[in-house]
Amino acid sequence: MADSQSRGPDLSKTEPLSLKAFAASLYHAERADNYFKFLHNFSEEELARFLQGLLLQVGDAIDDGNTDALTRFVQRGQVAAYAPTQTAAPFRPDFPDSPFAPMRKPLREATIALFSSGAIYRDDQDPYYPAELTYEQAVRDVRKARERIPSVRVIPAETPEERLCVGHVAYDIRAAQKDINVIFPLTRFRELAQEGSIGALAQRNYSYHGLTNIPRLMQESAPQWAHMLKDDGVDAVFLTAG
Amino acid sequence: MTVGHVARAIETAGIPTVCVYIEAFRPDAQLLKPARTLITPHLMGRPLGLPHRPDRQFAVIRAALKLLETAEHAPTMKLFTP
Repeated sequence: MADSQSRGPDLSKTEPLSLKAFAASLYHAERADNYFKFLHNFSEEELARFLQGLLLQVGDAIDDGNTDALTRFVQRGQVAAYAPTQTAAPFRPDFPDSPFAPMRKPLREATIALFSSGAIYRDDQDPYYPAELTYEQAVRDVRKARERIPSVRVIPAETPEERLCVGHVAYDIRAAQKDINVIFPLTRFRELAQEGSIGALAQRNYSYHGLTNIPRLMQESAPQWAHMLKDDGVDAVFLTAG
Repeated sequence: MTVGHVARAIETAGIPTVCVYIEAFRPDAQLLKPARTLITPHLMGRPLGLPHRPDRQFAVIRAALKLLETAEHAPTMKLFTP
């Protein structure tokens, strides 16, 4: 075993890194990691508990060859970190009402469109963030995303999966890059149409970058997009959020 | 989780919608009140589950489509149970 003490960095000259500082660095900063950025919502004690639990789960996953419990542990961590932060705000009003349009056709006759805030785009479309930035730079510059005017990409029904890309800067996109159906299930809906479970997948499906200028989204973009769907003649819309 | 705003606008235009939200963002859906919401116990960025699990993806989609057909009032929120 190598003697790391003789060749390692001189730790006496570096600032000690607290757990909180480490977690903060995951949040769109120098160690940006959208999978685990939720850790920045935890207190130092919560962080310690979570990390110790994570290590236990990793050990079990290695020994058992089964990641189900590990997945569940991380998912519970995300719920614990994010849920308390979602309170009413100008961009997230506690609406007193809930507009409701009834289904007018059975599913087997209905044309259904996909609509996702997951920032899906085709390889010949713009990726939602400025072309002069790399994706990694756009992730670190997340505040700019909240200022950008909402824009939508049309995804035709027959688009092959390999032509679909993901440009969202605020969630971990690795799963969607491996299998776009985790957030934009175009292939699954084509299969449902083929087997007759639904009438058809709409010719035009849509995505936008969910982290955006919300007043503009609420006042202008969302009503415009609703009219586009009306013009498309779809019978229902299946929406996903990252 | 701005997709709730979009769903509300689409419903207002007369087209029925169903949203798939992950459990971590359930409070957001409870505030925005899109007409029909399916809550899944999945990770952020993976509302239909882990990659290359078409059975789980179909199960989520079928549960969401069932909400489209059966919801009689809004907001209707259901928890997806695998």
